[in-house]
Amino acid sequence: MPLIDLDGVSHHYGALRALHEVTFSVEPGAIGLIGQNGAGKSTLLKILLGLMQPTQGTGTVLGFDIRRQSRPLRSRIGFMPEAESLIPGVRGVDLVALAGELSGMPRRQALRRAHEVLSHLELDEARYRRCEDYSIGMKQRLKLAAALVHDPELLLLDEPTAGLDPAGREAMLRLLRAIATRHGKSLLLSTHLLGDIDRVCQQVIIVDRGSILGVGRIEDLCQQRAGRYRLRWSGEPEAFLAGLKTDGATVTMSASGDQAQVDVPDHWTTRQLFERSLSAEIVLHEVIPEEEDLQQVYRRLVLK
Amino acid sequence: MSVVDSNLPAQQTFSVMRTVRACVFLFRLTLWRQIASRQTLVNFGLTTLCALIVAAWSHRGHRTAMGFSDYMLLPTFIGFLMPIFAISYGSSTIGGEREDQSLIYLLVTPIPRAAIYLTKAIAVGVLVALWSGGALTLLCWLAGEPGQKLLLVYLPASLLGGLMYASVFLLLGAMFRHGTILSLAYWFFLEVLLLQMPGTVKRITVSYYIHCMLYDAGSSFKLGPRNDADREMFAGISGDSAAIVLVFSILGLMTLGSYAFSKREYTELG
Amino acid sequence: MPSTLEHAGYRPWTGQLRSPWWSVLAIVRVALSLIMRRWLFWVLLGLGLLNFLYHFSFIYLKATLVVQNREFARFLDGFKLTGTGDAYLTFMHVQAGIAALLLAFAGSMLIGSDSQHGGMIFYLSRSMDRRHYIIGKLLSIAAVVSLITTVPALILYIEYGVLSSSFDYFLQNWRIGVGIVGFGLVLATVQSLLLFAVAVWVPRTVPLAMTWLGIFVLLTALGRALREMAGERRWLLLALWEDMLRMGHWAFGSLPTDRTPTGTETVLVLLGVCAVSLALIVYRVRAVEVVR
Repeated sequence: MPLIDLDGVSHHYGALRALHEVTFSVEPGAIGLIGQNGAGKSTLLKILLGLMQPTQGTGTVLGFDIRRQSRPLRSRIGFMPEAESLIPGVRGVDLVALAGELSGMPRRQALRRAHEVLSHLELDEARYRRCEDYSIGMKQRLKLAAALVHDPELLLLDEPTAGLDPAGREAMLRLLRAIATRHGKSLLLSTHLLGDIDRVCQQVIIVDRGSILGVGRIEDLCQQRAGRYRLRWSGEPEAFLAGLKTDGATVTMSASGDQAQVDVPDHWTTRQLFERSLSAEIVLHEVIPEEEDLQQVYRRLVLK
Repeated sequence: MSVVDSNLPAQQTFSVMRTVRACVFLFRLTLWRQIASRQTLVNFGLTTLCALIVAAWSHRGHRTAMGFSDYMLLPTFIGFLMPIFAISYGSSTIGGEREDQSLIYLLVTPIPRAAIYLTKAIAVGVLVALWSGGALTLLCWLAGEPGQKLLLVYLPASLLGGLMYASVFLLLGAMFRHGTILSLAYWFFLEVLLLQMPGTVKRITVSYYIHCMLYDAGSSFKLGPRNDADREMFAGISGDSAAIVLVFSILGLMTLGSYAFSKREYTELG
Repeated sequence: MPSTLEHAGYRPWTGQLRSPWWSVLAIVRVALSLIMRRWLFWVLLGLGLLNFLYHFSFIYLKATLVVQNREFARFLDGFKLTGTGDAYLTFMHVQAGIAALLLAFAGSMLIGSDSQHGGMIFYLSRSMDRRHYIIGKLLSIAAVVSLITTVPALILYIEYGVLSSSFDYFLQNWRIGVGIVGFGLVLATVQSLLLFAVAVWVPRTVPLAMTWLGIFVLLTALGRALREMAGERRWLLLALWEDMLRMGHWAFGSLPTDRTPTGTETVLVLLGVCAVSLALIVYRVRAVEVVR
């Protein structure tokens, strides 16, 4: 069963189109949601949480219909919002216990579980402090504790590393990776930081101007750029390179003169490269398909 | 050496000018932020309600200046509207910025803290004076002849009273973390309750001095306590003395506020 | 921060989740605990407590003195402090004033901060919907009002009855019990809906307190002025505070039937106010504003 399965989901705020015909399906695991400001990430999160009905389309999250089963759906989801979303005057442990109770846990179990989760997240010494007195890093962990308290299957995390210093960010990412890998929780990590997704997630959803530009495993998205090769040869390359250009390839020479990056047309295979080298009488030592990293994929899809 | 000496006064002059310009900018910014706030909308709504009350009152048959003062201006304007104007702007000017965590942007500027406080105090004073004067004029105009008679009687006391309230609330907002709630508590408990008490305890309230000024200035319209018992209960002082007390209190509160604002460490701002 | 989750061991939770209606109780409990933690609110609660203790002592004193000298009963009844419906009505009315003042201060903390600090996300992202949130918050305010007005009045009623020579007091004065509960319900319902509606639109402390007090103080003055102008007593219906008091008289059975505004007119006005307040609340508490 897919973790999230959306079919033609659109949403409009009056004349403003926030999401347009969003269709995708992702498997359980750690998933990154990336896009620029105003891309539609927050609207997508609201719809996935069942807080908002899409104008069009339908879908399921954890097998629950986002239109008709929003409440049981939210009982299986933990949400960590970007906004502060804490209640001033309430102590950390009471806030997390309240989060548990609001999720349907009995009072006593919610309180016990709040102590456990706060200990796990190293907030045990600060648990009796009022939450407005917490530092930014502690507030982020407190929000994570409130999202985790009822042991949800899926965590929706909106900018979980916002405002954290490098050490705090590193720790938060390690924690999220552990939640995903060791404890079998699925994560949907919405962020502007590609590095965060690279560190934690196996899958990514790239959203821009309300449309999905790419969905899938990060390695798969990177391999979609297989039409780029790095070549190294010996011999005189002029005839070889001229032949490639005639066939429609783009060649970028290295400074050493015995290597080049070649972007070949879509229908090409490596066989044509070898045939060209044979006819130009050069020896190809390396033909390495060049893989993109996530940053390059993002640049290609969004910032093109 | 001589170069440095000759440059020093010029640098100082430049620095003072920059500070003055920064304060003028801060004054305009404070005015604009307060005018564009939700408090202005609420003030507008409450003034409209008061105007409706006075308009309804003005249709009655027998209208006197004394009646207008006793049944309209004292309870609705002096007792409610004027402190509301002061509390809405006074407590939110610094207290509101503390709540929003935006005070830090002012504190990190090179403007001396005392100058920041005084600039904000003047901006609040201007706003409160404009609202008090404007609302009083409107109410007096709506009341017809009795209102026209009382406008000049009420105006000095209203302006001084409004400024005094604003100074108190600004100070509370600057000194205490929950200055807004303290301001409201001060108004309800000290101002409203103590004024009704016998003896000299009411002299710590602002409204006592406002009433003294009003009764003195409006003696020709028979404003003030009706009989000897009420007069003894109120134990008033002369209008001039009350005005002097208010003026010096405003100056004292502004000085105290500037000093407190300069020295206070706002730890909650991070 | 090392990866403590790995070291400490994350334990799954396997319990059974309950109906979201239980979360309403959690919201009420947290709201009450927030009020109890502020010293300023204790000043107001103390004021109410003082009034209650004064009446409590007076009933005890009366019961003791009457046993020794029956003449005291007639003398003490002259104070109209205890025993009658009017006495409980007056007591609750004073207490309601204290509750209104407390709500003016606490409204921003109970309701307004959810709109300001993103607290609404905290609630609505759980397995409850806005119905539960709205009802939870309304019950929180109603609980504050009831704790200051209805509960002490009921205690005084029971005290007066059990300090009488027989339980006949309860049988003869059942209407007082009904009146206390009825007036308490009116106070709690109207004040909770009205405060919630004001606080979701004007969440900050000062504007909220200004609006809240303005509604009661200025509408009363406006109603009286309009009545004098038009000679029509129905204008008094504008005074919401007086309307609630009139409903109190109605509940205690002491409302004159031949006098406008009548009980029915007052009920209609208060129902209208409650309906408008509810519409304002429902319009404002929406998921659209939850995730910015």
